[in-house]
Order: sequence, then C-alpha cells, then structure tokens
Amino acid sequence: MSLQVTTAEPWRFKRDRFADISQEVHSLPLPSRALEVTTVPPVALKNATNKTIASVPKRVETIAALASRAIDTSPNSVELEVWEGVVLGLDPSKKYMKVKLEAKSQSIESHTAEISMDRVPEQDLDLVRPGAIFYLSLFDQTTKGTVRNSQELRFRRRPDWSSQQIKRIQADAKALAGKMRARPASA
Amino acid sequence: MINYGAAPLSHELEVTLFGPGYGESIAVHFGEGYWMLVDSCLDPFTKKPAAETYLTQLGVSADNVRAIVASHWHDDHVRGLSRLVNIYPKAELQVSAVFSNQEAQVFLATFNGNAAPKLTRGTSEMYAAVASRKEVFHLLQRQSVVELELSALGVTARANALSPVHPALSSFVARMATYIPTQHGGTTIGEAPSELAPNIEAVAIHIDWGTTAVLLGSDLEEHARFGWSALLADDWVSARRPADIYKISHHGSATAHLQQKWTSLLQHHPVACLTPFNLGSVHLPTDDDRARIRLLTPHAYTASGATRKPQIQSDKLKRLNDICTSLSRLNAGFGAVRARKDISATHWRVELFGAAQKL
Repeated sequence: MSLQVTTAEPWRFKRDRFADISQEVHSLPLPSRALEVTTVPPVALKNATNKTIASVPKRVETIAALASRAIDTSPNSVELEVWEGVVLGLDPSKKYMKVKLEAKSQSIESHTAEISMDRVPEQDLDLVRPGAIFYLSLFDQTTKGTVRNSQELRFRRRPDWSSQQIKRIQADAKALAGKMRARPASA
Repeated sequence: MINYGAAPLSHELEVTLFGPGYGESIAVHFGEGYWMLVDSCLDPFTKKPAAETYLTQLGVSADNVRAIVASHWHDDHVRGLSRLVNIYPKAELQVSAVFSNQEAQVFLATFNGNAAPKLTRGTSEMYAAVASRKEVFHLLQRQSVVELELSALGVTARANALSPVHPALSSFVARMATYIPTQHGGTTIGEAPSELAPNIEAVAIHIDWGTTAVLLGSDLEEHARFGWSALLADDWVSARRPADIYKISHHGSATAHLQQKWTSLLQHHPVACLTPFNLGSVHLPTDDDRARIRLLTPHAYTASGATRKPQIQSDKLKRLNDICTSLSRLNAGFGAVRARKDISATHWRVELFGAAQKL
C-alpha cells in the first residue's frame, strides 16, 4: 500500500484513515522512541478539520515524517538475503575481521569470511570484538527505475548486565561448582 | 551416510578421528568392547554427533562407553557434546581442570545462553553437558582418565592426562575473567571469545596398553611454561611410552609444533592424523604445516581434505564477494581416519572414510 503523507499536504484525514497509517507505522522496524508518536489522541484529529499538518500538534508531524521516510524505501527494496554474523577474530593490524556468517533463510550452510573494517559503520566500530553479533543485509533498491545493489552492516549493541542476569549467572555457576570432582592420580 | 563396516573385534584396538572441516571428535576402542570418546563434532549427514552415528552403526552398547572427555570448550570441539552425555549415561564426563575454578564456572554460566539468550559459544554446549550430570570430573597433568583391566587380553589399558599443567590454570582463568560481569553490575554485556590463544587449557591424553601407545594432542599449543615444552620438562611425561598413533595437536599448526615432541613422545614415523580448521583466511594446516608434517612421517592423514569452496547461489555469492574476502564453507567434506590393530600385531591398519585423505 502506498501512503502519501507529507508535512506540506493539507489536513484531510478522517479518523479511520489515520488509524490505518498508525497501524502501518506500528509495523515498521523503527526505534522504540519513534513508536510512541503513533498514539495520537482522536480528539486532536477531530478538532483539526481545517488545519494543515504543519499546524496540528507536533506529535502528528512526527508520524508523518516517519511514515514518509519508511514508505520512501520499503516498497522499492527487495531483500536478497540477511546474514547473522559473529566476529571470530581481528587480524593483528585490525584492518579486517574474521567472521562466521549464517543465512537467516537457513537455506545456506554456514560460511566463514573476512570483512574489511572499512565496511563497519563508524558508530559501530567500538562494538567490533571477538564474539560480537552483526547483521549483514543484502538487498536490491530501485530508485526511479534504476536497480542498485545495496547492503547494510549493523552491529548489535548491548546494554549492561542487569542485577537479575548476574543473579542468574551466580546461581548457574554455583550449580556447576557442586558437581566438580578431581580424577585420581595416575597409577 | 558413510558405511563404517563392522565393529572392532574384542582383541583389536582402535582410534578413529572424525572431522567435518570445522570440528573434531575421536572414538577410542580400548579392547573387549570398551570405548572412550574425546570431543564432539556433528555428522552432516545425520546431524547427530559423529561419534554417536559411528557407535550406533557398529552396534556398540551405550553402557560400554566408559568416558567422554571434553578436552576444551571451543566450539569446534564440543558440538553435540550435551547429546553424547545424555545418550551414554554410564560414561564419566571429564573436562579440563580449568573448570574446577570458580571464575571459570562463572564464565561458563555467563555464556550458557540462560542469562542472555543467544549469547553463547562452545560455552553453552559445555554448560549443558556439565549441568546435565550429577558429577563431572576434571583432569590435570598426571591424572588418570581411564584405567581398564582387560582380563581376556591380559593387559591393562591406561589413559592419562598429560595436560593442562598446574601453572596454566591461573593464567587461563586470568584471561577468562575479563569476559565475566562484575558482581555489582555496570559491566557492558560482551561476548564470549571464540578462543583464548594460545590454547594452554586443553587436555592431551596418552593411552598405553603395555606394548603400544597412542597420543591424542587435542588443541594444546606450544608455550614454554604452559604448553608442550612445559609437558616435556616433566619427568613423568617424558617417561611415557612413545606412541605409534598421534592425533596431531591444534590442526597441525606451527603454534603447536615442537620438534622434541616427535622424538620423545612418538615412535619414529608414527601414524599421524589431524582435522583441518577453517576460519576466514586461516586454513589449518597450511601448506608449510603439511610439508613439515610429511617430513616427520610418511603416514600422515587428514579427516577432511575436500574443497572449501562456497556453496551459495551465484547471485548471492557475487554480492557477498563484493563485501567479503576469503569466503569459504565452515564445514566441508566430512570424513574419518580409522586406525586399527590386533593387540599383538606390530602395525596399525589405516582406513579412510568420506573426505578423509592422505595429507
């Protein structure tokens, strides 16, 4: 479905129409902070009959911007394959990383490879270490009738260990400790 | 699926090395139907542990497996280990003595996939195996792995741990501790390393039947204080019977090579076998490694010698090659090297299965 929502467009939406857009935005893979703007109070819409989007509450503007940005790329992008990667190691010069790649489609067996650090987005460089997880997406993007090969490599960012997780770890480790026995010395 | 033929006779000894290209597992027949398994890898045909597929095909009773040794925790040595531990309930599970240390246990628990799902390595397989048992035994140099009185054969089979050496424990734990969260939090969730080099924690095993011996080198690497040099400096180790069969340590790498090992712990021109290791541009053994090993023995074999060319549809391969270099299959060409001998015979008979070949 193609939605044309821009900040310049006059405000003509009915309530149910906006609900459709809201649903659409909810399903988009956007950061959680972006989703909060989809809960627009109906009363704001009802009172907005003769206004342009530019003059309705700021939250509505944000919805329009998000929807516009997402719609711009999604229908024109065809996913070729998404790989979940694990960094296995870095070469001594730290110019490339050795990785294991597993296709999300699971139709391809695991492979290993090397990827230049130049491919890693600058904001993710601090995450590159043995064991780090990343996603490598290959897709075809069509813009004005031209198909372009596109890819995205993004690392998974992790939070701090929570106290609950640490408690769980301590309990699991304690369970192991009680099982350990030394083998007898050789005869 | 590979047809392995018949089980060894009661008076035949056997060492079989399985390798899928990334992974390693060993099955040892002590004689009189008793077995030991060292490490675990998966058979790509059955998707089960290679040793399980093998012993099932030979008709070995589960009760006759006496020990399962996890020589170390790396992913390529523990795949399917937790399943092996469950299907051979009478086999003792034995691990490196590094896991007798509290920090090492916390390391396993941290990366077992419970506290943080998907945050795992070989650690989750090791943890699952250890957690499923009431008792787990740890091995240090000079400790007995298995001792069997083979009354019908009139011999005692003794498998002993040659490593890890005691000083290696604290060194290993210090390295491992950097990956575990502090007790009061505030530590960012990291990932378990795929390995901590050099490998000083692995359990190398020497098996002696009184007239013949086998050396299983695991992934133990060379290090003056913690590796092969440290082992050979020990009088008890250097007094072991030189082995006829050698499972070459650490996939034949130069980092695990020590000339003295070939003169002190091995017979002249032993049967030597290895599994390859494939990681990005790192392919073990390298051409130099192969040449070096061939100079040391004419009886050298690899469990998996097949191609590692990528197996991906051409459109996806072309695109991946724009981004990656050294792209290769993780597992390529599963095979097995089997050495058998009658206990009274002087020579071992070597058989190659699947993708196994001469080095």
